[in-house]
Amino acid sequence: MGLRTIAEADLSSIMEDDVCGFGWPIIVTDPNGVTVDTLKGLSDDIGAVVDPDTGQLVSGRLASVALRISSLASAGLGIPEGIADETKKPWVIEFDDINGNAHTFKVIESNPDRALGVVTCLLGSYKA
Amino acid sequence: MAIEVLQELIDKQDNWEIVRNQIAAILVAERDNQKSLAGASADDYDFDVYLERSNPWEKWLNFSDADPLTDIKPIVNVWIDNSDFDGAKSNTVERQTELAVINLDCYGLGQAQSEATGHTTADKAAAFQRDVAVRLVRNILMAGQNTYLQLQGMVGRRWPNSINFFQPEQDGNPVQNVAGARISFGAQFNEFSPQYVPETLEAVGVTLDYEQKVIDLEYNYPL
Repeated sequence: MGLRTIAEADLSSIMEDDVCGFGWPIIVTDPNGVTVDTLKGLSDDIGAVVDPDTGQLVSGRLASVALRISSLASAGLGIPEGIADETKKPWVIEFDDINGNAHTFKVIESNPDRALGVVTCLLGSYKA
Repeated sequence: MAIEVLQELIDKQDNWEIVRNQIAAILVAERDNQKSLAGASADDYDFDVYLERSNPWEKWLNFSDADPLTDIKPIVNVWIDNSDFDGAKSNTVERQTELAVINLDCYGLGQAQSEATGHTTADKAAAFQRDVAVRLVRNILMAGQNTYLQLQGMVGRRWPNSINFFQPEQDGNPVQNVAGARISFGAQFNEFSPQYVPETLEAVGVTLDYEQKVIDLEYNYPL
């Protein structure tokens, strides 16, 4: 087993351990309507300053999740991606914040790291 | 050498302040009028007007499934950008012709939403919301009733210099899909400044007598 394979295996403790690590329950629904609610990963939802190119910095909000690609595959899901076609359903991500408030997002951009086996999804607001 | 000071308090607004505020007031008044005229579709003509705000879309920041966004009408922020003075049309003593550029920043928020057979995309919805604000603002300010921004005698000319469309969400992909446009709006008017208040040395009374003459002229034209 090479170091890279070991690193991928370590993702289970780094990303998916919700007892001793920062793992967090994340619900993923693919465009076909298949929902998987057993996944763990890293979630992020934080205020940030955005430069809208107007010369004025304004408040923004950035949300993302990082998921282990092998776990997605094991659950029968592909790699999430932004769906621009309005005739199709988007990839939908749901997770609670630390205070228990539920948030539903749509994947607007995904950045898969196929070398390590992690996909980071940037999220936008979504009214289900 | 002693510095000569003014004899009066500067307790007035400059005209660029009055014009900027008037633009915001016109937008508010006409928005309400348009909503009244629209009747059942009043929501399609609604937008918020802000004056000199640096972060008007803060209200779109916090939401969750249990506390969704409800106030997603477009935002218009009115703020002064710059002004130039035309020396050829001014004098150095008391009147300066000013061309002010007032920015009207229009923001639209879009939310992706599930539909029966697909979904609506937030970026397109945001752009369409922004378009509504741009359309209404330009038409209101360029309407015949607002040729002089309802400040006849002060404003000599008003004109939309340009409209630049931009997509704030492109950098970093924030959760809120916001599309914006900036209407650069020019207005020309005069600025005045405090002057010497002349002292009355002596009152002079003059009585004018005149005699009105009525002259009758008769012309003889050869037949």
